[in-house]
Amino acid sequence: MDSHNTLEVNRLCVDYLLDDSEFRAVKEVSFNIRKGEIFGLAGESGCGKSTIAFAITQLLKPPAYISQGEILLNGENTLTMDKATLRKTRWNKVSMVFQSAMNSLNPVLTIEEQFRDMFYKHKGYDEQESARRATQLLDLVGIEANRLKDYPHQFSGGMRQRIVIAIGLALNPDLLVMDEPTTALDVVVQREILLQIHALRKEFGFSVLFITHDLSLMTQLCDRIGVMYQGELVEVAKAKDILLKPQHPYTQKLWHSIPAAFEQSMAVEEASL
Amino acid sequence: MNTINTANNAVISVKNLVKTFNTGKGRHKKQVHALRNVSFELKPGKALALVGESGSGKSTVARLLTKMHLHTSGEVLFKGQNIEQFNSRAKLADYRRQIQMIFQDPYGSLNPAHTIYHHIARPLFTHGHVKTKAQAKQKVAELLQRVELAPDLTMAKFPHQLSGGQRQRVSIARAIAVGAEVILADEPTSMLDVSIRLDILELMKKMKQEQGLTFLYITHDIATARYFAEEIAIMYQGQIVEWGDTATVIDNPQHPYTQLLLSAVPTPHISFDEAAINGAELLAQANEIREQSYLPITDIIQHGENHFASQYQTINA
Repeated sequence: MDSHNTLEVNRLCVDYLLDDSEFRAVKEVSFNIRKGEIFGLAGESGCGKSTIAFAITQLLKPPAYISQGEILLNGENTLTMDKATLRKTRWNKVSMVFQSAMNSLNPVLTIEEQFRDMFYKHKGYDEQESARRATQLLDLVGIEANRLKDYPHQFSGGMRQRIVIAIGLALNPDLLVMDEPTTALDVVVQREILLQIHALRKEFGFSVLFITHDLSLMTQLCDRIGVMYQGELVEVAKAKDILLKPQHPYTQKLWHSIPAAFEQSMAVEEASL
Repeated sequence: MNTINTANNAVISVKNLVKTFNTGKGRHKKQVHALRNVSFELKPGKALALVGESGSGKSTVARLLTKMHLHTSGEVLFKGQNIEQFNSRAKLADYRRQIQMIFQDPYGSLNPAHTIYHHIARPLFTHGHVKTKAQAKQKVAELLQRVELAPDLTMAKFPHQLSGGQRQRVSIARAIAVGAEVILADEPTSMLDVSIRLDILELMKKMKQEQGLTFLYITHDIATARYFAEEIAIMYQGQIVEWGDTATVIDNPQHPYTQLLLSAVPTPHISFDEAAINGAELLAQANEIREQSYLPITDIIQHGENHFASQYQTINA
């Protein structure tokens, strides 16, 4: 284990049990994420990228199960952890932001109570302490402290997503897993949120596993990118190389199916043909 | 109020369209202004892209054009006739035959209990295009071929046996089955996988060019708008803030909201480090721009032969 790696995934296989057979959704996938790195996992729906995200924190539910491989988080194998250690690892070491994060807040609790729940469980903070920390965290993502007493429905989709990110970052995790975090949001809001992640990452040095099907966006944000196709990781390279020198035919096909929005990128595209 | 280029051959021309929804009861009664003075024209054989974030009113436009909702004020002319005149059942059916919709969700827009044949044959019977089963079968096969699906294989299948892209092709076949001249495509590709989006756009483009179909392409994706549509209109909160030739508007945006929107479009060639610096100024003003763009449009400025933007008032002015 390289001590510079926050996450190491080795020959991971995930199977889904069917009536009379098994379907291998993730086929011997190996990759690593360095400290402070934003690693992107690209691919179309059904290619297994979300399955990997769920496998990292052992959140897969039957009929899915991990049939092979290991997942090392800071050198510790999460697949062999007992329940208590796993509970401590989640949120403390790895936290997740889902696509439907807007819906992952409890609608009948105020924002302050959502924070308190988590702080009490993991840190044993009392009310004041948790409110104080929550204020700091909301400040990080650009939400005013006087909104702590509001309910989720009083926030816009983008703000709710930011609150979820704030909760995700609350315990200073080493790894933030983001599964299509901005797919349901408008481009302007998407840009605002991702720029924040980009800046926070620099400030706190956590690693990010960023999952999306939007290759353009991923190339902008990530340091390195892995492209998945039908359960296999077909190409891993620096974001720039994925863009300028895609090796695998599937990556090339993906780029060809994205029309360019601006004149300058059209020119670059033509030059590369 | 100005309109988008008043050529008289427009298939559909929309003038000062207003739609207000009333919601809630009693103390919670409230009005939502979904469209505020929207005007545009659809030219035969061309596509107009209606671009905006969610809630900007783009889908409401499509609903009003198909008379699923009735507009509050303003007028919609279809080939010079006011669509309010299409009141009788026969007239309305005839109008709706000519103007068809393709929806965003290919999974939700086909009935899971019926075969593909049923989906396409039914409108053919309803509108009296075919009389016998044999005729219907032949016509359905022809239509499936036009949307590049294998007729023999597809006809007997059920929606769950098709991929998202194939389903969207069926939706297109269904729309053109009855001889639609105008197609209102509401985010037709946003739920499809990236690698098949272009195929669907390609198919729509071919139909536009070869069969002279007119499209209203509703989307939030600037890149596909540029790929598919000749003209573009940028909507924000129920108003069109800027419109004109697609390339001109995208490469030389005049209205601050358009600029903000375009600055946030992912461009793979610019890394976030650079984007953070370049876009910071606009993003810092994002809330102000949104607030200002919400105000009713007072004036229109012409920036090019076919490029218009609404007057933007700065707070200090």
